[in-house]
Amino acid sequence: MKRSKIALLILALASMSGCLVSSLHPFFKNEDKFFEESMVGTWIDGDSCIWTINPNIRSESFMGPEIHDSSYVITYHEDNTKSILRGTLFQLNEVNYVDFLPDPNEEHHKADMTSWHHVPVHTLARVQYNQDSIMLYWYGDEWLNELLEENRIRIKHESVESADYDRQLLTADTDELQKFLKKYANHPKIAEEIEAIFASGYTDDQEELGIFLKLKPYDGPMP
Amino acid sequence: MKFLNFVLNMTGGKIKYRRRSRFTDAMIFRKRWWQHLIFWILAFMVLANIFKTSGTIEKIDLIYTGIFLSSLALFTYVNLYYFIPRYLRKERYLFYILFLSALLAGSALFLYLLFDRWIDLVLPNYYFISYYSLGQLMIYSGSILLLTTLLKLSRSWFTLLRVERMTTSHQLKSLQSQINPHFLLNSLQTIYALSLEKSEHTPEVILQLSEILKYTLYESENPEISLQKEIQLIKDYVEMHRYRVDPARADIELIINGDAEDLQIAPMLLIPFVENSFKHGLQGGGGPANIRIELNIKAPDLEFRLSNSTGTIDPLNLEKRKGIGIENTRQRLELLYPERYLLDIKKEKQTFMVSLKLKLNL
Repeated sequence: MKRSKIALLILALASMSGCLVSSLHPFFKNEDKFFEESMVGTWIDGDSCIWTINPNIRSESFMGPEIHDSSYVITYHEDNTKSILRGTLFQLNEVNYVDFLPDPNEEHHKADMTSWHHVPVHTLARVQYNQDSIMLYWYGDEWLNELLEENRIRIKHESVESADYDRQLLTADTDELQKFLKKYANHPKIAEEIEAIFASGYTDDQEELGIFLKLKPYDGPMP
Repeated sequence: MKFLNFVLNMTGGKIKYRRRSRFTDAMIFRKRWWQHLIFWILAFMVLANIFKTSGTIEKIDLIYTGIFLSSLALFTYVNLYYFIPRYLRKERYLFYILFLSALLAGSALFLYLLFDRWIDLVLPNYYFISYYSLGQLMIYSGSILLLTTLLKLSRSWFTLLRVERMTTSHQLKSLQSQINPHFLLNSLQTIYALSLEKSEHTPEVILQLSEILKYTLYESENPEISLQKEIQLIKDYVEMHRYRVDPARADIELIINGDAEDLQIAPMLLIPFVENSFKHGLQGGGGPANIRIELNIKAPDLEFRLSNSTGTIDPLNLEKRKGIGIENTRQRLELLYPERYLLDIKKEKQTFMVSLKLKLNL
């Protein structure tokens, strides 16, 4: 995958810029979450960028007991910069997904004035993992935008327009989002393409659908 | 509940003839399908606003609302045209509540499955889900069913008020409009002529006239009477006229097929047609007059056919002389037998024909 594509992905995940299907509400409920120990570790992608995945362990108060809420803190290292995301692994109809959200501990979230003007959004990726790799496929917004423009999908959303970007933001609640996922996750248009990508990699024809990333274990020095 | 049933059955007595105002003549108030169309358009507009998925109503929202509402309309008409007449109108309240509850649950389940599964078979290029739970769908469905039921009941109630108002103001003038004074005069003249001849038919004719007057005075007070009595009135009326006219000048025929037992009809409903046929049929010039009255009864249906010659009377003049009787009857039919009658009146060169098909109460 080209480095510019990954940079775009990270930018999309860490901010509110378009290219991925994004939602105001999470795609998961507590009962759908699960924790997979094998995903924890340090990984490297095809462009030699480093990903560290750790359990999200936090304390409700200073000196209070540590709580693990089954989500992950994902740190992406590129050269001398890093982005931090919150990832939640969940399953619907035997399909595994990861819900991504900008991490509230990111620097720009800590500043009050900035955080007051920032509403984080959720993005969604299909995931396949084993001891040797993690494959992630983020749903791109091009197909959704096309459906919305052609009036062929009925889902609660708002068009967000600004000087920097125009995008469709899903405002449907988690129940409604999950109904769509359950009903259409195995839709030929989506499922077959994703299965093919997971099986044999990414081709230029499929780039428009979303963003694919294959991570392999890494035990070298950190940037 | 009695009142509810009374409203639903809404039968009235005599109706005062009165010219319809422009307001009530408007198509929207006379044509029921217009009222239904307006209701569904309003419901569509309200639901499209509720169902919109963004700040504005998109085409996909209109498609969804259209499918949602048409499915709901099917269940609504089952209630309006099957459950209400069959159970609510006949005071079978427990059955009505049971069937209505089943209809409510069925409609919610149908809507749920429609958008969860079946819609993909009909519109494969569109992406819908069942957005509402069964409970929420029951609220939508219940609201429409309740609203349409109340509208039907209120429509019946307003009609009843109209009938009562007409009845009250008309009672004093009922004899004047229902029995042609000329008929009374002619009958007395007939009786006078028969008595001069010392005819053996004199007592019979007096009895027939007395029966007609008795019927007019007492039976017509009831909202409904037996069809047998209404037929007897027609028979008496026809027989009275047989004595008045020369058999060589008039061919009068009365045919009754079927059994009128157990059937009920609004009083004095058919006699205006009969009266009209004698009034005009016997006044034409030219050849012999001809009056043919036929009643075909097959419970609960009644077919009334009447034809009479109009002689050389100018058809335009005939139209003017049609009188208030027929128009009065047409109004009563509309009020008392809405959507249960078919009235066809034809005027050909020298023949006047009436065909009335009516679904009666048992």
